[in-house]
Amino acid sequence: MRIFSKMIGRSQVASSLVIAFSFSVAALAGCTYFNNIPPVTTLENPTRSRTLGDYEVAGNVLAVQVCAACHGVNGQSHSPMVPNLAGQQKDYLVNQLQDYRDHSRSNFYGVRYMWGMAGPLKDKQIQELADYFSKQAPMKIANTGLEDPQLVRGKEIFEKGIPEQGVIQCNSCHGPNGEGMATFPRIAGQHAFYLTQQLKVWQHPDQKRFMEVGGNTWAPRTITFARPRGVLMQNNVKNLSDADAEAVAAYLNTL
Amino acid sequence: MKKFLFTFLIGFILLCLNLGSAQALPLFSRQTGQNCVACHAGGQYPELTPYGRYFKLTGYTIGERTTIPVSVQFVGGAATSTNGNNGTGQVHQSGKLEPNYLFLDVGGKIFDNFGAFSQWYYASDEQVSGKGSVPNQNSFAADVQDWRYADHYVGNSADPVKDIIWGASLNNYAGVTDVWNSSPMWMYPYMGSTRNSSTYGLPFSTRLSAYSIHNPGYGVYAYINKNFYAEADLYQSGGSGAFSWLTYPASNSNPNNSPVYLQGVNPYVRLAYQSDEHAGHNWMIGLLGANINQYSSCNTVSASASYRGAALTCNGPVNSPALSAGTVKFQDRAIDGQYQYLVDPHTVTAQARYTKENISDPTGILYSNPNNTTNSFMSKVSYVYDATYGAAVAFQNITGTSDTYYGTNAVSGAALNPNSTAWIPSIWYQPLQNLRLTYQYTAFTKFNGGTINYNGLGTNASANNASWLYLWLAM
Repeated sequence: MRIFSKMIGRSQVASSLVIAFSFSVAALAGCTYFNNIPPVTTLENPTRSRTLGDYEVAGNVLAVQVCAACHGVNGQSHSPMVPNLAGQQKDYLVNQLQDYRDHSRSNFYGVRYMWGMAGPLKDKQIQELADYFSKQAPMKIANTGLEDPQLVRGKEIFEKGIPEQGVIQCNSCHGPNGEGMATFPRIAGQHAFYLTQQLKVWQHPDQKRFMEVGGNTWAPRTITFARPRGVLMQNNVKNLSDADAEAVAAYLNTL
Repeated sequence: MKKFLFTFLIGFILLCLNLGSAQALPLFSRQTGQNCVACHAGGQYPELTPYGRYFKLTGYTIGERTTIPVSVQFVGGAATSTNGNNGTGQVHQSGKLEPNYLFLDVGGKIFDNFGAFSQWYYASDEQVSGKGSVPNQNSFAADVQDWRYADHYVGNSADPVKDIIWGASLNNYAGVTDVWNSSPMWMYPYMGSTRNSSTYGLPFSTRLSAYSIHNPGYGVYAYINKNFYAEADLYQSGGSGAFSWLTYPASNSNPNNSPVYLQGVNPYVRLAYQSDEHAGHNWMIGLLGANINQYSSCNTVSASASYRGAALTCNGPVNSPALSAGTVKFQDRAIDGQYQYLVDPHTVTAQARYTKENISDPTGILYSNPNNTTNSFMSKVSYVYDATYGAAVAFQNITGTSDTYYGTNAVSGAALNPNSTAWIPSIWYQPLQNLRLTYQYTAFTKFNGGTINYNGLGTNASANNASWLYLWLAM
């Protein structure tokens, strides 16, 4: 500090300015330094690692050590908010993980949970993860009450659509039993709550929410919920009532 | 200048954090890139979701190691009591908005199998124990330390044990390692004022309860098939050894902060059964136990009216342990349980713990009876909407044998008992997940043995009631 005072005489203001400036320069330089430290690889245990963003951790390791915490080790999740991945189409899984990674899929839970998880993944890991979950045996729940009017209505929409509302039958793209094909996802056996949430993304393409993003508690921003790859769905479900959306979701859960 | 440098340093750290590429705060959230609600039920910190429990049990190692593993929390508010100076003689409650705590958290993922939750705090105007001349003071201290090694094996469907997490922890409170919020260290109320202990609830608690067994400890645990949990830890005196930093700043020579002196190693055991999740519901039932043999300091023993042991041989710093006086033995046995329903936008959680305690004090170090018992029941239920609007209420009750340890009636001279009952409702608003505004009230229907004039001085239980409005902020 004394060096500055000598240089510029007695002016307190000037000296504080100089100090402030030099601190700012130091701070910026320091930050640049800190933010450019490459993440340290700490793979003492690559076969049982929970490290994201490291090329050496295989997809199937991440699947059981990280993803399984919510999606289940066999891809069957226990929470209605978390989709089953078991037997899901591989191409679909690859697409979604890439979309989470580049933030183009921005539905509420995607932003809240998946942007962070998928963000550091390498292409190879995405392929391996998709491979792992697509090979698991799909969820099958005992199909009981088909006489339930809600399920009857759901089945009708799934198989015939609602032509007068422009709703195409689901099975024309998602397969005769809702098993999906290629980039069209399996919807059979999926949690009804999850399906309803996703349908809402397309039903209300202007849904926005001011929220934290990918764990960044200090920079909340307004997110418009979107699933651009599913834009085909927008016209299909535009006129779908909430009751019908719930009916078809309930029916798909029983498939 | 010192202050300026400190401010600058904090500012610098925060600036760096904000310049980070798509990184977030606090620490764990930055590490996983997920929002706080992933691990915390409805955002009511520190309650853990099933995923949060997994994150802690696997040693805080999910995600990418952060370059600056630091976050800061601030708690400030206004605490008042019914009569401005309640039965515990606390005179520092101005009812004005004042800072309470500044927390510094470090740790997170360190290696593949090693991580830490290491929380330090700076407390403003805190009530301190001990016999110093200052009833309240500012202090910097090691708050919660949990440094753990963990590994997780996932078998195939042919294995009898399909999934096992095992690990070891170095920590500084019995119960700090726990992942359920019915456990001693992590139960509601989650925050209290430094200036009014009523904001934390009951005036007397069992030995195995929050912030009670403050000693270096180490232990091992295993979690099998995500259902069966077992843990055993040993706690011992920190003294001035290699582990003394875990209980900083307690020391023999600090009159306001004496260490807890334990005899030898003291076991703490935890068993639990955690249900699978189904349709958003999950529950746990568990057992807890601890045997604590505790010395007192020479100061405490020499001031004790009930002491009837051998003459004290004490020399050294103010708080030297009175080794010749023997120990007080606490045996705590508890059963606890937790229920959670987590489907957006609803979060419903409930916890309860019942503890039976036997206290043996043959030489009368603290207690006038050679044997005492207490029974305590702690519970809480809460509802949070959209992780934004929350309400909770706790019911706490303790009963026990009469002993001069709990005070004496000013008129009759009879020993009082610990019997107390508290209700602690609170409501909160959390517009952003790192910002919470809470109003919490503590109502005593019974305090220190009675409702009306419990101490002979005309004090009623309700005189200890406290309200506590606080802001909690994390970055």
